[in-house]
Amino acid sequence: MPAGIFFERYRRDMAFLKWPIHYVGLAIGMAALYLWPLAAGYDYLLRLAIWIAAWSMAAAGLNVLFGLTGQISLAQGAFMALGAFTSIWLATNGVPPLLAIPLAGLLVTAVGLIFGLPSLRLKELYLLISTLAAQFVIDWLLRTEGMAWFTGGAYAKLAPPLTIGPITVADTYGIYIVILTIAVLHLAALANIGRSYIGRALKAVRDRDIAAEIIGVNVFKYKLLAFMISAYMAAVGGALWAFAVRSVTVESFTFFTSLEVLAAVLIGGLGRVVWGSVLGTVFIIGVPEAIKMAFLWLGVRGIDIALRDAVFGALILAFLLYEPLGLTELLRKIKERIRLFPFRYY
Amino acid sequence: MIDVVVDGVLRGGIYALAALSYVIIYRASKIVNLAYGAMAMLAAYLYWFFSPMVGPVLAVLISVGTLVMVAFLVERGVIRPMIGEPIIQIIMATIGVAFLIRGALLAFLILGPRLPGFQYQPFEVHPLPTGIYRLGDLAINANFLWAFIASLASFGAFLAFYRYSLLGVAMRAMSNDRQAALALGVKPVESYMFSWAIAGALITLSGLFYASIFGGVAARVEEIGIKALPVIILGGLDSVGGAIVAGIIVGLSESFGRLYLDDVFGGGFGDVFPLILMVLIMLFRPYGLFGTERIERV
Repeated sequence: MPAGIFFERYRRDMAFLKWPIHYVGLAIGMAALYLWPLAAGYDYLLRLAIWIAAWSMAAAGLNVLFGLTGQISLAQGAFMALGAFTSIWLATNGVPPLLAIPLAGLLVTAVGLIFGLPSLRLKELYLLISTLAAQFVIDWLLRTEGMAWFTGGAYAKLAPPLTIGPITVADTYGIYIVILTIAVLHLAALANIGRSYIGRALKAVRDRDIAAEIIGVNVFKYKLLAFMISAYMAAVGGALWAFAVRSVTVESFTFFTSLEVLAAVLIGGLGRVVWGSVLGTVFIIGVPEAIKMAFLWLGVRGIDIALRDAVFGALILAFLLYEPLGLTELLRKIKERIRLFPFRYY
Repeated sequence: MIDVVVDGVLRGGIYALAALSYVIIYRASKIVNLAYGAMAMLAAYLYWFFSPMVGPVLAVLISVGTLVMVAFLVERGVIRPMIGEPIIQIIMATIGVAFLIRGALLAFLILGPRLPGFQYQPFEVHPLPTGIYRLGDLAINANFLWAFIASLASFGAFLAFYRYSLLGVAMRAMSNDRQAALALGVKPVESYMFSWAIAGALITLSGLFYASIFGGVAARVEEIGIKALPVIILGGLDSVGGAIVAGIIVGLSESFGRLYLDDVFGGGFGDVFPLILMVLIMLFRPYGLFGTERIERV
């Protein structure tokens, strides 16, 4: 009798859900994700969760671009804004919201393609700065009077209610369920991209683009593909956010948003597309809120936002200095420690 | 027309000074310091806070001193432990520094002068002369002119230091080839620290000059960090001399963009025009007009 579980097929060996504990974990995890609001039931926590779901989409897109392909981008905030406004525009013109969200993503992907073009010649710092320019140019474009029909100008642009066929989803829990489902589907797709031939090509480009070209990877094509994926994910994230809060202004997504998303990817774990992005987003959204709450609870009023920024900055620094591979690496270490429990490596 | 040229050139001087501090940091640590805007804002608010109490000269000295200390601490506490990490991680660390500085500054503003946030506050004592000089038909903003002159003077002082002093030579050697410089006995710690300290002082000056354009300090001072980016790209990240040429090009393109293109494309186009120009130039000359071209091998 074999001592353990052995696979005879390559497919089984490569499967996502390999061990029984994976099935159990998936079932419990999904049930927990969908049902926790019934137990906790705070509207505030639910809104935080929606926020995290939307932002982790953008972070996952950036993780494919940055973690898998090695191309840095600081324009995720701009793509989120474009996605939000495009989806609202589509929805107000009669496209059903559930269709408007991915459609907005596809439209913004075309814009992402344009801003991916410089990546052919630019690397690292130069690419960072050119995407930063993209962020500011798009931000300016959305603020001009000529685009007021699209962005609502000085006023907020209101999104139509989220409808699925004849049903209108109005309560926060319902919106959470819809957004969570969309996010989970997208993240599962991204997890698979990392394992396919596309993912291997992207990693080859990241590790050494010239060498990748020599072994027959079309570097330009895959760089553009990564830019398109990241723009698509950011746009869908923005669109989800738009339908969740129902009112979007140009101030909703700024340069600061781009920085937040980049921080999420770096804190979560570069190249860990799903876990890294989600954990990183939980960190960058949850921690500042928690700090703010803690200071309010301690009775520190007035300077709570200032302290939140300072502590957040210090935490980013602490992570980069002491755990540069991110939260996923930290969890892996903890898991390893538990697995070997009474013993440890020295 | 000539007004616009003068305006552009004078603005360009301030941008060149701002770019110089990016270039110094790039040459020392091979990174772009994204905490620039927050540091410039810190400097301007410190000047605003201290100048009514101790007068302009001492206030400038206080803010230069504080910023040099901050730059020292950033170099020692954050950048040096991260040497050898991927560049992008270090840049992210400077973003962390930016959050830290901004939070600390906001706490200081709320507790000290009791401001609710980064509000516009006019300078009570201006760092530079204000008013307008008339030269025939030409009206020159005194503030701009003196900012330009002071920028050029700081630029010249730095160039002389960089070229003739022993430390300057050591800094240049370090940026050209770290290992060769180490083998020849250059003290790496010294040259890193001084690069950051000088950069901190230059950030203070450019922040002050940029704030003096608005006649006071506001959250907008942070923009100088973004405004200087096209300058360093055009000039080349590692070119000191390129910064001044590129600064003037960017200043001119901003002024002309504001004059001729704002009506065509809508308000504020002058602010993003240099960025668009920068991306176009990057497509054809990725290493800037004067930067060192990097040759890649597998």
